[in-house]
Amino acid sequence: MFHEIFESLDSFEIAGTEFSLFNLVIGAIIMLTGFVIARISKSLFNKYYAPILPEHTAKNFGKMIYFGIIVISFLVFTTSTGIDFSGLLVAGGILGIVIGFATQSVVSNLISGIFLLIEKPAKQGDSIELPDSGIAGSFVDVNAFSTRVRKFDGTIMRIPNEKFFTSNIRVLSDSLVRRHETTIGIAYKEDIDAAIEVLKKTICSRIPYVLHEPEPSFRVDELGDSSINISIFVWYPKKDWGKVAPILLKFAKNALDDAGIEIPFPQRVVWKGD
Amino acid sequence: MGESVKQYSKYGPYEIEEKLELFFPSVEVRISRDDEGHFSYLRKDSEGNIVEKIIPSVSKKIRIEVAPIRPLNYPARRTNFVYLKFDKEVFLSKGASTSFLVRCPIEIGIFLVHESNKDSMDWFTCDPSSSRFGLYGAPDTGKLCKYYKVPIVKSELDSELHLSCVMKVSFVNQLERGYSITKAIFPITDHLLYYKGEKSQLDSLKVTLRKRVAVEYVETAEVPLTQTDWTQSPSWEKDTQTPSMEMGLE
Repeated sequence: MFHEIFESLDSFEIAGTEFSLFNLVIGAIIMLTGFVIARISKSLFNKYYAPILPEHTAKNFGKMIYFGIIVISFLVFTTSTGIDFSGLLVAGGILGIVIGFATQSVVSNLISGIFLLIEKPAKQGDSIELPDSGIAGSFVDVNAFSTRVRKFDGTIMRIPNEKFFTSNIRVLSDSLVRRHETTIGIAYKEDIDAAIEVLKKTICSRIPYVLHEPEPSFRVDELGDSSINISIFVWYPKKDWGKVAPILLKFAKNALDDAGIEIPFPQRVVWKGD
Repeated sequence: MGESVKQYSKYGPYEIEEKLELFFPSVEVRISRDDEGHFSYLRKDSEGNIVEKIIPSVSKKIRIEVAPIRPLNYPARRTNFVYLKFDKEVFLSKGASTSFLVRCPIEIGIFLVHESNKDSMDWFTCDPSSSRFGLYGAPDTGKLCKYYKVPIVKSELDSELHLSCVMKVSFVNQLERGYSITKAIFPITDHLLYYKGEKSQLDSLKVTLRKRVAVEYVETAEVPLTQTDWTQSPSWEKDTQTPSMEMGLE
């Protein structure tokens, strides 16, 4: 029975190309071997070479190796079976247009993904922010249809490649240093220069991650309703946001308290007319 | 300062059988044998921060070396460059050259000596308030450096025990005009440290101011110390690295 089936499928024709069962079996073996070699090559690369490369480079190389071997396997498969795609292309032309319209967003995401890989707006592990979407986190990777960002709360946000590609992307960790800004108010009766001197001395001595060159700068920002508002600008190494920004205001407040400089709060005087 | 400095432990090798106490400015180190085969290491600073380590050992005694190391680790290792801001400006006229000594900060390294190996065991700074970062250049293209304000000193022996070493800086001005020098920025990882008793020195720095076509630039080079009676400090390297995770088949 099997022999009869084998005989009946021995030779057949699709889109003007004649296939034999033997060729198909060989083709399947070639593709299977290609998949296995691709996986083994990627695993060996990940095990022995990826750890010594930057994370994003390693990941891109891994993908290139994997898909490169699969593409080569496919080319070997088509050559060995003698498939001529010209007939299929003509026949599928109209169908392609229909499918193209139906899968517009899918194709758009795919193409955007390719452009993102070429442009590399951020490296793996970079801290990024999409101001339009209000998304901030660590850049994970670009996949076929989407880009992944690990938010600072640990959750993963999947963003379609097209949206990511057309968004404004703020890379927070591309520069060597970053600047943080905060504002603190002092009472109108206080000496502004003395308050700035106290703030500068405390920030420079108590927060080791604050750069001394450029040194912290201060600006009287506003004569507010209740206080003179002083803006504080400090620079820090890009990795050390967590060791500067969350504690800056605390140290500034403590410094003013220790120096006896009043930090006022809103007060309203109500006069009662007779 | 002279009397108090005498009380501090000196640089060099120490052998520990039962107990050793080392005293540094604002830092104390105690190493003692708890039971057979285990030594305990404790470091305490003036702010109450404590670091404890266990040192397994097959022998009944261990050897350590206390040595000055490059000032790159506190508060965190972020760069190999240092930015030395001189306390006085040096003016070099056209074609002139000069050399002077500066006092450069150091950190202290504790090395576990095993046969010919010197393993980095611990490090600390005795003057955390002066160890800061500075940027040379633009935020995106410049160099992040460890920033120190340093005085110009007169003698190679003007280093302070556990706080600073002395470095010779040579300047050669090949420009067509005079130049004021206020700072030196260079990769200190190219430089080796040496100690002798309570004193320490760093390899010299040679700075040449040059002009190529219309561009003025600075060329820096490290000049090794040639004196042989000073002991070369081991280089402190990070001894704990994050192991990469083995990746299996996907």
